Amino acid sequence: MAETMKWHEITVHTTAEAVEMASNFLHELGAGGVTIEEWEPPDKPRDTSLGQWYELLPSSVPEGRAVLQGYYVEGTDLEEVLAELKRRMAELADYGIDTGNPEYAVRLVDEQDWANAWKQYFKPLRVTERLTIKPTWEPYDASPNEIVLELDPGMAFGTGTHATTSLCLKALEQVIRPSDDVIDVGTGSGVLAIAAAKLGARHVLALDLDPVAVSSATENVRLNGLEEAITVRHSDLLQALKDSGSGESVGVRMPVQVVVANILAEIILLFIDDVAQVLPSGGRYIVSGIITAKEQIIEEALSAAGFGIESKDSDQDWVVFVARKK
Amino acid sequence: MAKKVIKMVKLQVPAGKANPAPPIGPALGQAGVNIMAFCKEFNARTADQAGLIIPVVISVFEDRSFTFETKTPPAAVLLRVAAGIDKGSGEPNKKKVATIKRAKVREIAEQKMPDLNAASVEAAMRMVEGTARSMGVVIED
Repeated sequence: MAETMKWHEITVHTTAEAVEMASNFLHELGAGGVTIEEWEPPDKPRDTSLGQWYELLPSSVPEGRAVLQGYYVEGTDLEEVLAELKRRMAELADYGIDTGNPEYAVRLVDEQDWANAWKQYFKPLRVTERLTIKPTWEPYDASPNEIVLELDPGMAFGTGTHATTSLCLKALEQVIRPSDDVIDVGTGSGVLAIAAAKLGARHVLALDLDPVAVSSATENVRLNGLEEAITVRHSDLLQALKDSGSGESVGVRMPVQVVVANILAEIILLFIDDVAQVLPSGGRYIVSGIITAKEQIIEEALSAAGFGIESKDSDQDWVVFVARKK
Repeated sequence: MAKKVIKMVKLQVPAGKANPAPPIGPALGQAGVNIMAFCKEFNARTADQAGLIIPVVISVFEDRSFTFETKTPPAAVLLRVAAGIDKGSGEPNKKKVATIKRAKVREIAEQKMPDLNAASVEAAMRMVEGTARSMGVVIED
C-alpha cells in the first residue's frame, strides 16, 4: 500500500495586530495556504443580507489574540522554516508591532480523503409521502410512485435534512398542480424548485441573491435534467417582476399560481407585497423558515397583504404557512 | 432559505488554486463541508486574480451546507502590488526593496479596514505600516 502523504502544520499563537504580518511570513516561507482564527468582539456586526443568522460557539481564542496555521509539504526543511519565522516575528517589535510573546507548535498531519469525508453525512432521505432526496453518488431503488430528487448537497442551504426544507416540501406536494407556474424565492440549493418541477409544475423561476446558491441551484437543476423547466436567476423578486414587466423572459408567465419562500421571517416581511403582486386571486404562497416566536407577526403581515391562511404545519420550532390570495 | 450559521472558517489561499489539500481539507473536512464544491466555486470566482492570495470566510450552515465571501487581498499582497515587487525582503532591516508614499499606506488601510480587527483607520495604518516595514518597504511622507 502506498504510503500516504504527510503535511507539516505550523501553528503560531500571536496577537490580532500581528495577523497580517504573520500570515505573510507563512506564505513567503512556502505555505500553500493559511488558516486564521481570531478573537472577535461578541457584538461584531455580521452579514445578514442573505437571510443568514448566527449561533456560533464562543471563540476559544482569548481577547486580542489570534491563532494561525500554515501547512508545508513533507520534505520541507521545517527547522529552517521555523527558525526563519521566529526571527521575522521577533523583528516586528522594531516596527512597533506587538506580537505578544508568540508561541509555536508543529505537528505532522496525515493526508486524508478530505475531498470525500463530507459524503458520510448525506444519505438518501424520504422527506414526504412521494419525495425522496438522493445524493448523486448513492445507489437507490425508488418505488413506483416515488419521486427522486438528485442533489449534490453541500453548497448553499437546502440539503433536505432541515425541518424548514422538509416542511416546505410537504406543502409543495399538497399545493402544486400540473401546469402551475411557480416562483421559488431564496432557492439555495434549488431543492424546492426541483421538487416543484418534478411534482408537475410547468415552469419554475428560482431566485437567490447569493451567487453560491445560484451556482449550486444551476448545477442541481442540471443533475435532474430540468434545465427546460427551471430558470435560475441571481435576483430578488422585485427585480424579476420588473424584468418580466419590461418584456424580458423569466421563464414563468405572470401572474404565477404558486410562490414558495423558505427564508428567515425578517426577510419574508420585506417582500410580502411583491408576492401579492405576482399572484392572481386564489394564488398560493408557501411561507417557511418561520420560527415559532415570529409566527404571529408573519400571520398578521400576510393578512395585511391580502392573504388568508389556508393551512399551517410545524416541526420542532418551525412553522410553514400556506396562504391564499383573496 | 432559513439558514443558521454554526461555524465560520477564515482562510487565505491562492486565487484559482484551491484544492482539498491543507489548509482547506482539514479546516473544512471536520465541518462536514463539501470541499470540492467549495474549491470549484472559489477557483471560478477568483480565476481573474491569479497570483494573488485571497482571504476567504466560509460560513457553514446548520445542515452542513455553506456559503463564502472573498475579501480584499492581505495587506502584504496589496503592498507588493503597490510597490511593484514580487516578494518582500527577507532581511528588511538591512535590505530595502521598495519605497511607497504614506498616502498609499492610508489607502490600503482604508481598503482593508472592514476585514481587520482594527478599532480605527490609525490602528489599521499601523498594521499596514508594520507589514510594509517587515517586508523591507520604506514609507515616505
